[in-house]
Amino acid sequence: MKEFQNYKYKLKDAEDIEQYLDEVGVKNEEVITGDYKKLFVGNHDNTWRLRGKGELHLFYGESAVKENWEIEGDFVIYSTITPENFAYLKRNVTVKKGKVEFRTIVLGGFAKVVSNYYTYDWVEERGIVFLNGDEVSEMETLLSHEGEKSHSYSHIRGILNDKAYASIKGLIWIKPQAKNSNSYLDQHVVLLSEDSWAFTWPALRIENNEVKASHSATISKIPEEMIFYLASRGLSRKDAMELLIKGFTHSVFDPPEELWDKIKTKL
Amino acid sequence: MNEAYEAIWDKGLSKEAVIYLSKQKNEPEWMLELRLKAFEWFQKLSLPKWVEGLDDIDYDEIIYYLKPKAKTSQSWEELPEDIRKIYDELGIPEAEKKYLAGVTAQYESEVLYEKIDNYLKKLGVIFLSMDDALKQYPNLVKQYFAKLVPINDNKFAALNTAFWSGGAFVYVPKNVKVDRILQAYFRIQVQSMGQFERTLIIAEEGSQVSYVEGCSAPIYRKDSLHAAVVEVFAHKNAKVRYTTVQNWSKNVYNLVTKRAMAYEGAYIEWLDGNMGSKVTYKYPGIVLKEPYSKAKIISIASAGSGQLIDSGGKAIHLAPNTTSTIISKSISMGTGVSKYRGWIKVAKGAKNAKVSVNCDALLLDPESRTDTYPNIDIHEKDTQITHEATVGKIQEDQVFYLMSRGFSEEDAKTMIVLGFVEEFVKEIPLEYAVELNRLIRLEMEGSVG
Repeated sequence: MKEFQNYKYKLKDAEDIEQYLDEVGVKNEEVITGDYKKLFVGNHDNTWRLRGKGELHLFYGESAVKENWEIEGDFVIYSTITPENFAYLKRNVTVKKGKVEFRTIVLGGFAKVVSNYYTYDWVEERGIVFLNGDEVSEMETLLSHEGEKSHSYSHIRGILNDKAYASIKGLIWIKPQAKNSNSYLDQHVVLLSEDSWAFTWPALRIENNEVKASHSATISKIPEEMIFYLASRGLSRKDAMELLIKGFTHSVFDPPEELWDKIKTKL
Repeated sequence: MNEAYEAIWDKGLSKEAVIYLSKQKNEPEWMLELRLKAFEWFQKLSLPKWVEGLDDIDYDEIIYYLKPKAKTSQSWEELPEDIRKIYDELGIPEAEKKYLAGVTAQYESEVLYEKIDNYLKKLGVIFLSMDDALKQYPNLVKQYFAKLVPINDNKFAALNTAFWSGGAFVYVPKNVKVDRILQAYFRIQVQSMGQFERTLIIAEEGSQVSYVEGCSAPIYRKDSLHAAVVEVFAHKNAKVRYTTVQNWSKNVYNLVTKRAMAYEGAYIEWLDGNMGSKVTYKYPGIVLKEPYSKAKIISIASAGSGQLIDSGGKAIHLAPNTTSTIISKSISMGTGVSKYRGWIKVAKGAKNAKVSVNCDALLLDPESRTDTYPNIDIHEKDTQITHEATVGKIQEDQVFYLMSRGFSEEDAKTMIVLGFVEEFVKEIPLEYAVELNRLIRLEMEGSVG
């Protein structure tokens, strides 16, 4: 992983990383039908073909990965990204049929996640970013509507502490042929410290008029009065904070219990 | 080319052209230097990657400076017959009788007709063409000129700074409240001419002023470029409102840089109505420099077939307790493309900054397109930022309801569209509101049904 150390201060050079992947990446092809799988993903270029229905748990440590997904069926795909230093993940996902949910947690490091979803049916992205120290995370999402009556949703939450920085970009692109499509994108960030900062970019590109598309974005802190209220009910400040953040992420999805120990250290 | 014009430089854009122009105007040395520096930047700067639709501009074809032969007039009767005729069509004399304080009507590049009411003189308000202001108040102009929009801000701001001609200069002294609306009409009338007006508004402490610019251009053949720069300074507790109702003909490239600076407790409003033009790129910006300053941007855009209107707003919060509101409404018809592009920045230390952004888009036809690109960059945790956007079409049930009440389908749809932009229309002066409603109606004719 030494090669990637250099990249950690310039996350934006995604093209360089991809070029590197093209040179060293091992091509893997996985066809998964229906079953529950827990996979640790290394550095390579993957093509996943999913049929049927099921749940997938993917873990990304220190890695740089390009993935191509073709999905027919109902799936929930969990991705936990916990790099010590650097992680780069690029996904091209085509949802041909079915209801697909991508649930992604970014815990620390310097992570860049680029997801391009091409939907003919239903795709949902749910993402949570927890950062502290001087960690940096960039998320870029494209929700591209390719077919009629397609759905796409993206819900991202960011919780930033210390000097952390998160950039969250999302673009809904409804193409002319994707009539009667439905789309929604939201990006909400909570800043816990004076030095944390955030950039959000909720964008729309709508090319036909038989659509419903909207988005919203907010950046704020946790209101003191909420903490005060919980404190008046006997909770310590720390517990109150934890509870409020659990509530904040609950609307997206609940991070698995085993991750909470790690999350707590970030608050 | 019309023979009623002089001082035409038609040898393309060059250093010589800048010197020629500056000599023609008898400008001070510093202005010439600024122009030359800006011209260097114009040549150096390139366009951002996301810009499209400007490839057809041929800078060598631009005849950048036209001066009608008539001298600057002080009254309506002194204006030449043919020029008066155009203004009659625009309805200026009637409007003036009603409540125009002073009309600086821009017929081509030079301000021709300029009448300042005794009212303004009594208040000590300076309302001049930019060229005259440079002659009469050079120090004041030097103090503020290009201080907010630097010469290298963008390619077209550089172009404007190098070749600016005409535009308005407004100076409101301390604690003076101008309760009448200051107004200027702009009009491009000769084919293939660039208008690079430069407007500068300075509102001193505690003052208040409202400025309206309206643009309309008759139809002509060749593509034309309009690259203006507007700078507004609102000092402590001053209140400035800048209204634009623009209706360029559909072959004009409208590339405008507008920026305002708000000092302590100041309040700045940009009301921006973008109709017509072939391509528009325009983002009124506000820098909230000192505490308790406030800003509001309301922008509407209507893009018909073949048009690209890229507008929006920028708010930069640099001090605590600052507030900004951006409301953007866009209507796309036929193959029209309307885009919202915004930038919100809250700097570290700008505590209690409140920002609310709201963009709504209406798509009337299946092939219409709308984009929303808001950039939200927050470095301070004690802030409240909300951004919302919706895209939709005219709801069938609303049309059905109105039709059941006896409106034709076309009337019903027009009515819904007018309701959609009402937030903007109710803020602008009556005659502009009437004109705007009429324009939207005209735009929609044939596009609906």
